[in-house]
Amino acid sequence: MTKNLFKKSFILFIFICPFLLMAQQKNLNGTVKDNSGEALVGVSITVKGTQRGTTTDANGKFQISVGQNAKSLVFSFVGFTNQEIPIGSTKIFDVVLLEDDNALSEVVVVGYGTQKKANLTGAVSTLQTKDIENFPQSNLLNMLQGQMSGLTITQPSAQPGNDQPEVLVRGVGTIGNTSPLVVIDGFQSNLTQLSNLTPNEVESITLLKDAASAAIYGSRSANGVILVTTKKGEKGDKMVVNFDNFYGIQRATILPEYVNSAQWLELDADAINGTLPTGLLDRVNSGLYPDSLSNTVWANEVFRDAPIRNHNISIRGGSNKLVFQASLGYQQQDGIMKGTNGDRTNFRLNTRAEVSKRVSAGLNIWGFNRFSHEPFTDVNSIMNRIAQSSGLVPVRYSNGNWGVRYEAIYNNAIWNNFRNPLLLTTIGRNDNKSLNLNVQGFAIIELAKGLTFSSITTASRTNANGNLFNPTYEYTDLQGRPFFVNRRAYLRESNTVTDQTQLQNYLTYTKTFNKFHDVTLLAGHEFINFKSKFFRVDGFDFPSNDVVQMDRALSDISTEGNTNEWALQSFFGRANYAFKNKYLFEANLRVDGSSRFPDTDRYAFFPSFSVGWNITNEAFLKEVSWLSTLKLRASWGKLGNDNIGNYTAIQTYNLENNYYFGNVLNFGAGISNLANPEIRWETTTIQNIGLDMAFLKNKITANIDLYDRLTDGILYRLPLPPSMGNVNAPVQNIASVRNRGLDLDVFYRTKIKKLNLTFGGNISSFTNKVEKLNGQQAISGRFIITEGHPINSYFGYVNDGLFRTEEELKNGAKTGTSEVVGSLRFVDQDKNGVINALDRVVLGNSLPKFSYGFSTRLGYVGFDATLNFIGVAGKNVYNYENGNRPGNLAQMNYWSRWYEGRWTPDNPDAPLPALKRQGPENAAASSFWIDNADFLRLKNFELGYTIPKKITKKASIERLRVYIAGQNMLTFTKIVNVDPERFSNDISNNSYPQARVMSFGINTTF
Amino acid sequence: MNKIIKYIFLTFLTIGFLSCNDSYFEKVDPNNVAEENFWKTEKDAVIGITGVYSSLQNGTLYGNLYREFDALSEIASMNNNASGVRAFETGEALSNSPLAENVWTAWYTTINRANLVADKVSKMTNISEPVRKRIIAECSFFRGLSYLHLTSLYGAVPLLKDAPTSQNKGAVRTSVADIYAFIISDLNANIPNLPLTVPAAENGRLTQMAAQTLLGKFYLYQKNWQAAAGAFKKVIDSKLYSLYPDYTTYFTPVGEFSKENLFEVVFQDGPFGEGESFSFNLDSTLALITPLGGHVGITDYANSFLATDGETTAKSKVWKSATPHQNRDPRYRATLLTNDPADLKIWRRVAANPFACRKYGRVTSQVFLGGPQNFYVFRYADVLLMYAEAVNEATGPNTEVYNSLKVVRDRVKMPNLVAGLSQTAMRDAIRTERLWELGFEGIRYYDLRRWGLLETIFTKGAPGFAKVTQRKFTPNRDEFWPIPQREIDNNPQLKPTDQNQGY
Repeated sequence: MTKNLFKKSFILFIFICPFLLMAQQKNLNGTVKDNSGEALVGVSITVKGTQRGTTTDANGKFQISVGQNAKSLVFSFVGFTNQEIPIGSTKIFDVVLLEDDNALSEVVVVGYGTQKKANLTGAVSTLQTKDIENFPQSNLLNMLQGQMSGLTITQPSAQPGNDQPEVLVRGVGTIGNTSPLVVIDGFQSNLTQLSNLTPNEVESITLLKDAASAAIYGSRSANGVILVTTKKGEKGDKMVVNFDNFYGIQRATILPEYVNSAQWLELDADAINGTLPTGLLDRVNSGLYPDSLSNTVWANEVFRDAPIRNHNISIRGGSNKLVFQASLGYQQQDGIMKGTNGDRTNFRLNTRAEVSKRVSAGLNIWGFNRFSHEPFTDVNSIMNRIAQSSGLVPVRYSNGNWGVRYEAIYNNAIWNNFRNPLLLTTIGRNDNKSLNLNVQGFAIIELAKGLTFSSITTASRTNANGNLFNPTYEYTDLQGRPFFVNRRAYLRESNTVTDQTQLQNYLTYTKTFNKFHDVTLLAGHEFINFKSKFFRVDGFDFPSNDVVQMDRALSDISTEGNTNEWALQSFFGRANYAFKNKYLFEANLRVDGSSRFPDTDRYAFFPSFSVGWNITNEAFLKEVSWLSTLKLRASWGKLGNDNIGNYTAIQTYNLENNYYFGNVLNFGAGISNLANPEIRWETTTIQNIGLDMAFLKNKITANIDLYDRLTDGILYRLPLPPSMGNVNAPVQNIASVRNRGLDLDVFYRTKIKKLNLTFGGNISSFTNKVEKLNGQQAISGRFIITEGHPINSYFGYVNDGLFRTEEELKNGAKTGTSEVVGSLRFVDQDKNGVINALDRVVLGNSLPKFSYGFSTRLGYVGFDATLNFIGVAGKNVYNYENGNRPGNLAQMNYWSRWYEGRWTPDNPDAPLPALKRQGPENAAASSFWIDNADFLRLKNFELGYTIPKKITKKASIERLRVYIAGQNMLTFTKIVNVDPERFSNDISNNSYPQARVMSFGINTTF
Repeated sequence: MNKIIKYIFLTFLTIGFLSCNDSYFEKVDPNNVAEENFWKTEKDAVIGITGVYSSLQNGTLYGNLYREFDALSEIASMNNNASGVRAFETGEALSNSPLAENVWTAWYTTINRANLVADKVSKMTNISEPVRKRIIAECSFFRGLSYLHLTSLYGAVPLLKDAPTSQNKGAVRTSVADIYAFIISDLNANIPNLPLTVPAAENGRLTQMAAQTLLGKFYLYQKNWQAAAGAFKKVIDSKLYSLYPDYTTYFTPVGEFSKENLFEVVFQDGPFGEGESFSFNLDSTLALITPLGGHVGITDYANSFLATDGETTAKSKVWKSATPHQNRDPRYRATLLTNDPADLKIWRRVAANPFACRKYGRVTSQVFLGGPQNFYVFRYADVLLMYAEAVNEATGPNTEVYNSLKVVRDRVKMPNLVAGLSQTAMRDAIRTERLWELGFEGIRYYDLRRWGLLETIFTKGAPGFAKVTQRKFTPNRDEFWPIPQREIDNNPQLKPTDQNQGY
């Protein structure tokens, strides 16, 4: 419905716009060159005061017809200074554009406004999305990988609709939610919405990293802020239509290699000290028993090469009174795992009208409609099944039926819970649909010279529907007996409606006093109201697998629902002062009140102060011509975090602890979450020192920032002793965490004759340390949070190789009585002769020491090439589980390295322990399972060719570019069988793999 | 146009200033009830105590796992460690054993809820005195029941008496003797406040005699035989209870709320999540299952059931090896599934698992979201046997002892015990009777612990029983379960040295 509506209004716009353009007479022409005499291609030429314009062709030539009373032409080109030339009686214009030698005159989007880059005092990174818009990716966030210093993005999976990455800005600032705030055109949004924007509708992305830049967002800014500015039409812009398409093929970057069936039998027999029947291995290897002794490679069966395609059309244009930008995008993606797919439609319409000389107003509408499908069995479980299935069962029996059962071939190998992974990808569905619609109205009024009032209202709604269905089925084993059976069809339908309304009103005042004193002031108010309502219905037993409507369910219909609300009210202000563009000063203040806190302590102040010194503007540097810019910045400020759940301050009782007395069901009360009425805000204090440098007329720029980020009063549910029962611990302001680090960006741009070359690189490095945790430790599985170490460090025994002789085994400290020669040996830290809980120590952590990205772009005549690398150094992953266990789980398959690498009496120097079913030492958290996961990855490359305009012009095409692009094409890493890029808390080796994508695309501009 | 903009502008401003109103921030949790609105009426008090009952439905307790502990006795053995029980059989359980932590957490959940309700209800004003006293008495029962299990498994444990707060103050371990003393006096003070019987609409709620039974169990565990006998005698003399006539069907929904039941945890199938997981359906129309798959019924246990003439199969005149399942104590077939052709039609028998549990099983093709079966925590047959045991220990095998046993054996038409048994012989007879009567009810493991027989059973096997190969018992360690590592890590009052010996 909404999609249709959108299409209609879209078409309407296409029709209306041409009427805004009007025709007149007088032909002008000429060429545009740079100061080395090289023709400039694509320089935009507009007639001042009109919407009329053109661009130069491949030879730098242009032609334009102007009205009789046209006064002057404006020449503009990225990286060059604009030039305005009066027309007079001249008909031929030979223009030389000068390179813009102060790239810092660039304007940067900041909170509630823009600032000249030269006057910035905070730590800010920016990205123009045109550099990344052709990457064959479905998720905008993943395209940002390695593009900005201080921003660490880890993509765990290539599953359609479920490829949301882990996003960190400058380390891990808190124990709970570390997601940065996302602001889309002033609207406080979230990472999900950002990931569903297309790069075609985004103009730029700004990352606010320090307190000076982020404090204006107060209580939601402690994890950093990502500002997204979408494309808008521009005054006097001629109509531009872009039509972009690509088609790609995806393949898993890495699939683990497992042992073959015969090897599996040997390993399994080893693990249980069993003996295989004579001749069994020969029978397996003979391949003559495809039904009972097969040799299936499950990963190859379940994964495939899958297509992804993307289409995007956008129209931009405008007159002096009305400008607009409209776009419509569609992407369809099959998953590399069979049975998974998704698609997404994006739409946007940005309009702005100049209502009067002093008033402009507009309406922005955008959103997406996305769908994803996976089988009833979730993809991680299917990954588990692949890792837990030996190849002995065939995909299908020779009679055509699915292979469903492992035939018992020797005594102890009774293995009933085999599930055919490929079969699982075909059963049932878990479909998710999500429709997001945002409507934003705004008005900007110039109340007096330099004084502007802005008012923005945004309403956002997301409607997410889930449809989970498990059909009835019956699959028989080789003997024809029903073995894998479901007699009860099950349907779950769920719906979540999320509404967010945001009102913003603010005043901006800019004035220069006495020539030298530049002052900008900002003051405003903001209100956000959030509500989400969840509802689901479950039902069982349906007339057939095709008639699946909830009202047809025959039994066990049940429902569940909940509502969540929060509200935030804020007052904010900012003052900027610059003296002679040399000495810069900025102060921010935000006062936030949140419904999440008790009314006694609802409001909090978040101030920040920063100073800057443009040293190059001092007289003593005027003569140093190689130094274009040298600016020193320093900032201090406090930020907040209110990501603590909605109702943590008031003790509540969950009445769902129902119980029958007789035949009457009664409500029963229980505490699910302990409350803490003394809860306070979490505050982050960031100190930042930065240096901006530019050399050789801005050919080389470099920014370096050093920061110290201390988060205090971190809200955390400190684990309770189980003697407090099964309740969630209260949220307390208990911890403090410090991140210290460095962000470095360098950029180099040059032009050698017709070759344009840019190189950009960035490095982020930080150390993370828990400074305070009430003197306690929070141990959870293999992770610990403890003072003096990074958040979520690995915790367990230090491995000391294997027990290699009876002698070593006899004398060594053991966990109990189960160890044998070949078992893992641990360091007895307290020297008490026993390996127990007291021997656990911190074993490192998953945070990388460095993460970096670098990219280079080349342009030569019509050709262009982009290479974009990302990498991390000093990253460790916990690599136990699926495929990588020493035999301590019956149905587990083994990575192929276990066959040669395990300890046996014949292989006494083996790197891997002996296989063994029982014994706690196998599963104990230990350093043995921690592997280095450093990697360097060619994340994206692109090779394009723009067909000369004189050819395309004949088809009325302004620009036609074809390209091939690739993603994850090369990876250098030491870790095997798993992708080195994975979530920091992932310890189970079962995530949906990443994809390597090769794509072909066409960009067309009319 | 200008006018329109002015109006829009004004609207924005107005909305902006309206929003400054503080009431916009009053976001009360719409999913749960806030403390300040609760504990106001008698109904709230009942909702509170209902939450305590509901805590016993936990899958670690009576909802599923409770009776599986019989796999740590002569009744069964585990062939996998999915539930964590086998680690306690093979002597491999460590302080991070999930089972040790889950059982601990589940009982402490009950304790904390009971403490909370007792505290809140004692402070309520708008409540009648009998209702207040009854609910507080129920709380003291649940707290007692929890500590009976905790002390048996872990020895000294933190004794919590007060309502939980959000502060983690921690608590030291209190000796078993002190915990017993506290619970016994608490129960004695509260038992009179409970009703003798409840109306049908309150079936499942606690009665006086249920609490009396718990009191008796404490005395029994304390080896205070005289007091135990006295406590159980009160139950018997109340004449409110009798045995359900048919032992076999008793363990299906028809036996629920019968006169044999002193206290049962109520479960219902249906959409409200009130079902259990310990019972099972035997459905011959489907691929056959092995009930309690991980459990292997011990063959010596199956063979120990007497023939109908009261003799062992070896000595019996009525038992024939050709028809080994006939002419046996009816509790044999009611407790176990065998290789009898009738049984083989309804269960999947494998060589490694020759006898499976039948108790609490139903032969039905109806599918349940959760099982409908109540779990019988205290039943009259158990009371009779505990009474017999207490009297035998206190004064020897007198007629009271014989009579109690007779009631139990009469129901299954087994002959009386021969007269003139010595106290020791009677002790053995009672212990064996409990083995037959209470199999797969989760009682045996606790019996073995209180009799101090666990080590013998693990290392040698019961008299006439083979030792189970995989069983291991490390003295000075396996007498008690480990205090959960997370308790030691996170309880500010406990130090690593507070761990039980050997872990």
